[in-house]
Amino acid sequence: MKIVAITACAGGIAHTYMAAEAVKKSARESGDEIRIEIQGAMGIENRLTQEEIDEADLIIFAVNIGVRDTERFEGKKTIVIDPGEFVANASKALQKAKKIATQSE
Amino acid sequence: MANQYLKISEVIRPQTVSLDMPGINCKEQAIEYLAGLLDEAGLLSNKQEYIQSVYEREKLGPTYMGNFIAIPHGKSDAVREAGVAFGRSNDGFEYLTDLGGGTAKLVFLLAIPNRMSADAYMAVLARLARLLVHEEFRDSLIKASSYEDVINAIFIGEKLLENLSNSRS
Repeated sequence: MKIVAITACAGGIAHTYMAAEAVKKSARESGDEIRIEIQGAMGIENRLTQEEIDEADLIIFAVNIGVRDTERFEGKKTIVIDPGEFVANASKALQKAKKIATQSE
Repeated sequence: MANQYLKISEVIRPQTVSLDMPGINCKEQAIEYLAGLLDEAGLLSNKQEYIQSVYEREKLGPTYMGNFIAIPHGKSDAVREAGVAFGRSNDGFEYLTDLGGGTAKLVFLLAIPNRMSADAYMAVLARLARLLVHEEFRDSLIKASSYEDVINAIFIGEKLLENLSNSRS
């Protein structure tokens, strides 16, 4: 599965990076392809291209604050999961995201 | 990319690692104790002023990260040279913040000089946060019995992060 994700945390930059690493870990464990954009105090890092967003099978917002530049995702289904869930149990959180994605189809 | 700056292995020193923080029961004691290690290593010009910068940062949001980890940090003129102190509490203690906390066993206290760019500062913090997601890394810190074990775990972890970043599509 091609997954793209955005991480952003109210807790701050360290929490945001932790969430990004946890999302990456979850994808690696399940054999999925992953691209992660980090939205932190320093701006946007590893910005997702429109092509990557368009090609994605699953779009995850691992955020507990607002996402910037959401117009890129217009008309797309995005799954919001609290970043804390990824940090606590990465693979469980990814499974949850996949489940929500298939349920609402 | 941000993580090309400082490595943790470059800013952690034998004198700033304590694998058995003595009599630490709360966040305040841990910060005081670890700041003392940084001070004794000659990294601070004014310990109290530095500690104040740590508390100012504490007000902005939780530095408790879950999984028994806390990363308090401060950027200040009172820091001569960038440093990281690592303290382990084998029994754990309650690390409380205004916005949530929990039991802490692994505490990293970062000291960053004011003159350092925000990027470089974030890079150390980001690296540490990324490393700490990995259970293998946390386990090796919990099991470490010497500074060498700690620095080895960090070396292995940093190498792993680099490989993962390089192999990223």
